[in-house]
Amino acid sequence: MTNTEEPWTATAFGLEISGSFPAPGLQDQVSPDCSGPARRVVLRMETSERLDRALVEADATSLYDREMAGARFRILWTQTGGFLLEHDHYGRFWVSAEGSQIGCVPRELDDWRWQRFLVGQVLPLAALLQGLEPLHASAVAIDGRAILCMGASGSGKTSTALHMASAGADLMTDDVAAIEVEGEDVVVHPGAPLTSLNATELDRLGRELPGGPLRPLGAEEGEIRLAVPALRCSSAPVGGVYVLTRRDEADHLTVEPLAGSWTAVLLGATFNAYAQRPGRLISQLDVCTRLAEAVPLWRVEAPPGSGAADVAHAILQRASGGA
Amino acid sequence: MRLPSHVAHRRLADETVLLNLESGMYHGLDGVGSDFLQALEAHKTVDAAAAALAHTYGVTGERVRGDMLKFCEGMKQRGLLVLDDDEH
Repeated sequence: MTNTEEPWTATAFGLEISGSFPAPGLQDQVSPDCSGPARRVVLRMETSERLDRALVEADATSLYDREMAGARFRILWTQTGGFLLEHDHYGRFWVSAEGSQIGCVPRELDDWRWQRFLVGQVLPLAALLQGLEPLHASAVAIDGRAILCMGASGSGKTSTALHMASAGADLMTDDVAAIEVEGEDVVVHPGAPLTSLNATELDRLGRELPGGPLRPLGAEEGEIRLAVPALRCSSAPVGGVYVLTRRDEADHLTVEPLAGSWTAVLLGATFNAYAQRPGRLISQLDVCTRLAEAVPLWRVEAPPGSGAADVAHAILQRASGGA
Repeated sequence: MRLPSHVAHRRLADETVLLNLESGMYHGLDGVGSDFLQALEAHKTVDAAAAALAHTYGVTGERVRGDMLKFCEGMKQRGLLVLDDDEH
């Protein structure tokens, strides 16, 4: 893979992203309506040798080193060299210390496949280094206010957000929401116009959203990678946070104010492995505290058998002030 | 008693989050723990903090003091509180 394609510029996670290699879906998020963010990041294809020169492993601190589903994912960091993210399945990615440059050395895979990692891990890190707070959340906007869906992996964040979009909300982001404090508000920035769904859920959605059909890019591990036709292109203040949970004992779907610790929910949704510097940790704490202060937090408890469409309907009803 | 310089904290309603900047670890306090911490920060010593809270809670100072000492020990073990040399 080389930097031979026509250069493109896109926006995602509060960043203006430029690249010169094919990035299906990601490079399509170009809208003249988007207010030009001051934060820029340049993506480039690199060689492993160049990455090694940028970040000498012997001097690096290991921030994260986990083996999941037979693949090792580790993050190395040096003060001057920045971050190196290495994933057995997807490749090696360098992010400069200030988050303005990304070097990619992907595995020999289809573009959409390795770019799942680029969109899900690498770009959020660049956003974080440029002052935004990425959270594991999907988001839609209704009446100019963003609704964040949080929850554990598999809790239905994506399918719920897509069903809300199907019902008329503006899809803002899937799986990663870049947020920041702006005056009295906590705002969320649109993400990349990409998502992943299993075939059953895709069929339930009718394979399209009001803005057009969901365009399949490929399939992996039972999920179909999809380009989303239309994403809201401007940021929106967060109007509510909904934490999705499944409970076997529940006999009906409930949306109740979140009782107990907001800490575990909000801080648990941050990209904590990167948050090593004191200033960054305090900023993370401040953003989460502000979110908890300014925005109602809800727990959605869904019984077995209730689908994402039901959950989406219940959230939309609550968000619009219904019972 | 005081918080070390590497510990930041934020209180929201009945919960306080403490952040250990050296370890990157977050710790949570419930409402009572939050009150204890707030009183310790304001009054500096366990005796003074316990007396102030006893008045607020409407219980004896001795009872609050016993609970507060246990709280302080737990915080100290986690590196979230230090005992000043001049306090016993």
